[in-house]
Amino acid sequence: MPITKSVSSLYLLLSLLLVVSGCYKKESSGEETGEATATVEQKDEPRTTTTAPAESSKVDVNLYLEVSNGMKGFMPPAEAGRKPTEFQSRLNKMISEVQDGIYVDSKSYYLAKQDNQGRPVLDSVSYSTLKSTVVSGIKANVLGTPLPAMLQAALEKSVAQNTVSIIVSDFIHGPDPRDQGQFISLDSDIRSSLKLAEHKGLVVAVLADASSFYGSYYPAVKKPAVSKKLDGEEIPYYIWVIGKQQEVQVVTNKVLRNLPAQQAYFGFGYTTLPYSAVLKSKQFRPAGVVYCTSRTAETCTSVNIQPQKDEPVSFTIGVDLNTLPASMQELAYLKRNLKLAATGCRATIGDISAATEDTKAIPELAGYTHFVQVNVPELTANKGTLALQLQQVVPTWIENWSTENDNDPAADPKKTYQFNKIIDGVQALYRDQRKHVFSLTMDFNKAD
Amino acid sequence: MIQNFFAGLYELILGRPMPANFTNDYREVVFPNTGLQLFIISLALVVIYYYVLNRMMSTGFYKTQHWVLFLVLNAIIAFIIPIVQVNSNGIESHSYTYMFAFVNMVYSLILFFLFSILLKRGSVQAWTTPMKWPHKR
Repeated sequence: MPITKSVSSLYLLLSLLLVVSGCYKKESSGEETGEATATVEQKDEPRTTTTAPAESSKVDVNLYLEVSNGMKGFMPPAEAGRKPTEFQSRLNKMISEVQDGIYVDSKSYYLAKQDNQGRPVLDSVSYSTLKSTVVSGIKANVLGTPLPAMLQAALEKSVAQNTVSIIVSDFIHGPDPRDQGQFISLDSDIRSSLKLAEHKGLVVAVLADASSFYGSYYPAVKKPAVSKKLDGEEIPYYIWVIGKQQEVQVVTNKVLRNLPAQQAYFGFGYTTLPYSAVLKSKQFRPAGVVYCTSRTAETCTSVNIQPQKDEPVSFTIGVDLNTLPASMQELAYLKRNLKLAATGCRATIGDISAATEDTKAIPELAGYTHFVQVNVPELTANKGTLALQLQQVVPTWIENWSTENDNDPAADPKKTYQFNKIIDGVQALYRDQRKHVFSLTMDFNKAD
Repeated sequence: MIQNFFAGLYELILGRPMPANFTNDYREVVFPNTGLQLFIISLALVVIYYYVLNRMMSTGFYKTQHWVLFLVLNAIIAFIIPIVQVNSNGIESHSYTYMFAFVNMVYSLILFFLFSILLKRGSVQAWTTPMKWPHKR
């Protein structure tokens, strides 16, 4: 009898145990669901901020093609047995994309010339006129290009119509012979001509490429030769896109596509890029004492760290640079220009890597295009910030494409007279506005 | 409060959680969960031993060896709970996990003994298990 009693009591004991342990599992699973809802809320937050620059939106475009005599060599009349110049192929693709593509809503085309007084004239033309100009050459006789005046006229027209400007020109400054002083003040003249861009908060994208050139070439420096007959030498031409940042990006990414390697962006800035410390991934294992301040946050923008003498802290920040211009997303560019501004600690940038198939396969990492390792060997305060900043820099190709004497393009190809001064003028517009393309701040506290 | 208490209790012996990137998971989830379960299960087993088996029922489980059996059972549970907690919260396993389980087991022995001393007086058959002290009757 006592044996059966003890057996039954054992059962009782076991069932009690089950009840007790069951209770506690419930408690912990309840906690987990609480955590889950918290992460859902957090998830929504960055999504809504990032969907704002929707790239799919349409833009209105004003396209200006300069048609001075100096441009004729880019657009030689079609001849059997001669391939179109690179200029013609690129422009053909571009204007057909503007005309027929889905990203452009309303479009206007202008041929930019100057009148006898040296004032710029923007001739509104139809698509077919523009197309025939590109494929079969310029008929009119237009001397010189007053560059600042042309830019100003184009920009004023676009701003009035609220459109994006695409300006195609060789950017060889050809002021009126009566006003040669403009050569001295080219940078400030460019700045003045584009002041509207500064006032309206517009940005400028400059794309450069070279094309073979057939015909008379008119250099800015008229000595020793006023003009030169060229037969296929490479002469640079430029496509400037001016407008609101988001619209310029639609044009550069969706309308122009295959951008040339030479790109420069002025005035671009991003305030809401998604970023997060990546602390729990096997790909980017942190070192030393570092953990997210919040346990449940989906995106971690505040960390607790505590570097030890023999164990410095090192962790990775994932950033989504998807919305930046393509040339700024290049790893080499980021490695050169990404800087870390730290307060309250000594810190350096370690390795920078782009997303790989491996990281794209992991949901927590899939949203980031680049991963920046940050090393913190020492804290100097109990709290502070680590800011990843992309500097506004003038690309190096601009110096290489500039010259003080463009008289002999055969000997010194792919150079434009004082192009660096022209760019200086553009840069001056944004000198005081944004120091950084973006600045992503990671707060830190000393870990306890 | 409870979080800090349990985090302090374990980190007193174990030191900072490792790997460090899971510090918050340990402090906010694993330590309090484990600590609470440790307290409640130890208390439950003591109550079952003294009040259910040796008061409401007369099962003959009043000897010290039976008490030790319950002590060991509690220790085993206390060793398993931390490992389950760590795994169910998606924390990478580390030698720290097993040190933590071991420390929790040691705490379970102490707690079980303490609860026994405090509560054994109310038992009918087992008030002298594991020893008579501190009660006299």
